[in-house]
Amino acid sequence: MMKPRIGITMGDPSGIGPEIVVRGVNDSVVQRGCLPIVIGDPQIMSRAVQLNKSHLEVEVITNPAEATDVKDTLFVIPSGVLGDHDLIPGKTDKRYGESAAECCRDAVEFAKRGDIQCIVSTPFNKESFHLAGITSLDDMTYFETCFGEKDTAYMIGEIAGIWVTMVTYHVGLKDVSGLVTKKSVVEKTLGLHDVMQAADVSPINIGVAGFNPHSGEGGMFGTEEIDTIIPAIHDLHDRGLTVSGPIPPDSIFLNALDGRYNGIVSMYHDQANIARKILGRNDPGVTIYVGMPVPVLTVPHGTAFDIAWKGKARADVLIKAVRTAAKMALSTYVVSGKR
Amino acid sequence: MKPIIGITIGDPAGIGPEITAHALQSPEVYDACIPLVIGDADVMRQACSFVKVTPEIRTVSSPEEATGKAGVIEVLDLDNIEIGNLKMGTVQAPCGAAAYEYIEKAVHLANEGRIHAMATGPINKESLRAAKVEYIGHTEILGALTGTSDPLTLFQVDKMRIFFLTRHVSLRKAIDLIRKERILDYLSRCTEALNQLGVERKDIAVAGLNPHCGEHGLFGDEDDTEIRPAVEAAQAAGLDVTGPIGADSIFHMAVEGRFAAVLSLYHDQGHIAAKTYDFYRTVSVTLGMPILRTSVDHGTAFDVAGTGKADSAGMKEAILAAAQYAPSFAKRAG
Repeated sequence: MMKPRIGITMGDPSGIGPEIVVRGVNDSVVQRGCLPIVIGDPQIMSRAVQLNKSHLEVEVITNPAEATDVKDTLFVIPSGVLGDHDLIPGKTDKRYGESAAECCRDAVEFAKRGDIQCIVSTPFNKESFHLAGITSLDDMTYFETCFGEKDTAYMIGEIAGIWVTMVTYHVGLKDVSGLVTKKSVVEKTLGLHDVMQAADVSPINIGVAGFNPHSGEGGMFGTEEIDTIIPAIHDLHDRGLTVSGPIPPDSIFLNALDGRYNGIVSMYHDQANIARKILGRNDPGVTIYVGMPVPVLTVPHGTAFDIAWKGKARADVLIKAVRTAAKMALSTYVVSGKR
Repeated sequence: MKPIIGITIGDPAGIGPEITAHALQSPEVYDACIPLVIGDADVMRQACSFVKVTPEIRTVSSPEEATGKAGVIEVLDLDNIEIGNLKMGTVQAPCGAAAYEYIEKAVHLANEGRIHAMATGPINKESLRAAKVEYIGHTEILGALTGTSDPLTLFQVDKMRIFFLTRHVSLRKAIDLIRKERILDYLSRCTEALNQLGVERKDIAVAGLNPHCGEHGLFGDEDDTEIRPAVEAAQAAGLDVTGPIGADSIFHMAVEGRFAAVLSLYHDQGHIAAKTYDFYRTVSVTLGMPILRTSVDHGTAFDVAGTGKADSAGMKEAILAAAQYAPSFAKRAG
């Protein structure tokens, strides 16, 4: 069996990225399921190996194809190299922003050429990014720009076995109603379905959330359900999907936890994220950006400057992200989000 | 002296009576208060059989007769249900009428100071309608019976308390209602409510409206144009208030006990947080009335009524919250 090649960006060198990447690569499930390739500064990665007292040996390569299925090796493709700069942990800096950005861009180039089947993006610092002159709204939009795409990417998150997507993302709440259309609800639900299939979820039961309190109670408080969400659900039924809804927004996660759904289509950012953050206390999930040539997986935490380079950062979320990436890359389904 | 908490059993055909019976198995409840069931003794006897418990059911004719002895369920028996005709889990006019009478009785006793707070079991909208009771829910009934027009709702679960700026309106309408003046008014009412409940901390955090509070106007500007100015004005007026804080972080922070309360801007913000955190133990407290009322956050669950399967944790929490807040509430109400 061919193992998929997963590109893992080093992340902001001054944050917890390098150290958790070392631990992510070291994970036995990751080793079994894929060939992880770090895209970053080999010197910094060596330091992170030392910090972790890891037995991994850094081997510098120039192309993902050179990575082989050998044990105890951390393959690194040089990118975002800082030179002999004396790295200061936990600091915002233009150079760190540039370094992290270059890792992302290089990862995208390898993905475009088909040399890696998934990208796992390690946290970078927004402020350092801004100092480096990058003005993208968020990391998803930055990857989208690197891929040369526009308005095609969207996010899907997994938490406690529940897969979640949002019909709208970083937009003002008053604009959401106009963006929740039959078309957008159908598209996002199909995209979620594809990703769940790619991640081997079976059977797939998707709940579509309403927009208003109690899903509008038959039009008493709002009509978005009647006007767009219910027609979208009918359309999805016609396509043969197991979809229920509109489910009152305040009950849908609860119902999913009770096992009624394993997929949720939320209408807006906070509808999903209030619940995800509450659930994340016990089980931090992974985030997947789809709609681009390869999926980009990320972790829902930041650079954690306060504990960076102290060997204290937990790597479990990153490990979960790489494992999920391996699973998705192996899948026969093409997770492009485009049908 | 322990406060007397009037517990209305709600719709006799729903899960209210059985969760009441089950909640009253907890010694913790009797440690905290004198629980007085306001309902029908036959319905309570039947409810005990549903949940397979065998306490003594003692009927009393006034709250003053209640002793609060653990192991005994004391019922102020309105004797308004013909038990032979009661069909569990269905809409029936006599049940709607009976449920209304329990609430009416409790409000009456609370107004007279003969019970110190009420904890209410779930009622059914359709049963009320069948009984020609012209109110859609507790809030409306209590508003009318106490002459209050705009009661304040507080959700509570563990360390998280949530007030609501808007509730049962469409989300688009709610967004229109998010105005500096309204927020400022609510912040002072919420602070007063915390006072009334005897909550030591008074710090209230206001949730943001847009994702990450709009990130300086990148996606939506209400956080900058309405919410922040309201918070600043409240601070200038001496209130202990912070915000706006991104809605996806603020509730998680509240769970950790970072604030006395959160002001949720719209229905689902706070409801999603509380229900996802712990649906069964979320309690609703109604304030801004001359009487104190707590309730469960779920409905009559007709599909499981009479099976003994319903979770009684919310009812127990509602009774305990009423007991916790009743002394301070009574003191401040004079």
